[in-house]
Amino acid sequence: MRNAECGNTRTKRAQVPHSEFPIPHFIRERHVGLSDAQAQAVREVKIGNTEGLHARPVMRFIDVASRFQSNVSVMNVTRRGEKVDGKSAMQMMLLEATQGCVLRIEARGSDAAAMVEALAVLVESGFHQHG
Amino acid sequence: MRLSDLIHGPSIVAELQATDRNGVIRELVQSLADHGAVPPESVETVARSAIARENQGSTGFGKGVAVPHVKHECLKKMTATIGRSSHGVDFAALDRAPVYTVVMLMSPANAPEEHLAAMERIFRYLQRENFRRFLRQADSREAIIELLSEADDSQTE
Repeated sequence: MRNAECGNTRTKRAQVPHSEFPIPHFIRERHVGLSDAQAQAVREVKIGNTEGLHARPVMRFIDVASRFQSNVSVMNVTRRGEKVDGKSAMQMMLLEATQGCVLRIEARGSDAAAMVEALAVLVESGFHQHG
Repeated sequence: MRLSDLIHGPSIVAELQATDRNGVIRELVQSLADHGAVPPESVETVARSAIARENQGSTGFGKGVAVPHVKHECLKKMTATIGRSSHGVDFAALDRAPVYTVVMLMSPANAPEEHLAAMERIFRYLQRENFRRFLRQADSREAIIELLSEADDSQTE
């Protein structure tokens, strides 16, 4: 492996070689906080509120997502729908995520882990609102 | 779901008279009532409810479109209409830009699946830049209806 040659003295044992080596699925799933721009984090969360992912929750989602640098995509796993941009309100409305649907939130970038965590908390809390 | 089935054609307002957000909402609800899509006695309730909803968070999704909506028990059947403003209306949109196309959706209470399916359909179309542009240029009810039906036909799903 060429990783040893990269000469980064701050490389820690837990760090995963990047760019030349795809981050294994099981490591992404645990959303290890990689500290480079390629860091990824994935979480699956269930829509709990009765009204589902309607306009207001979408706006809240966008609001939280836009506080982070990373890119984020969201997919409705239950409906096997397309991946949409988690920072686009218009695209998020395509998810048609009703109560009980599972969303797969996937972030990529320097703050991916924190972003996915914040978004997961938002969804799991029922978007901090009734209905 | 075809958008031309969802949108109540006779209620389309090709040139909105109102120039502010609340006025636009009232005008569209009134138009739906005038054409029998919303019970006339519910106009005030529904309009208030749509405005209250808007105050909780703008439905101006950006790119010149807003989708104000209401879920209310006095609505027995889902219906929707479109209003077009050539001057642009301030909806406190996400991108702060004026709104030229308003799609107003009215859903019965306790039908969240149907509501989300209609929203999906509306945004599926509004996603397309051409659709937004042509909608903004369509200056008569007939032109808007024709555009909706052409968009439905070109939808492969």
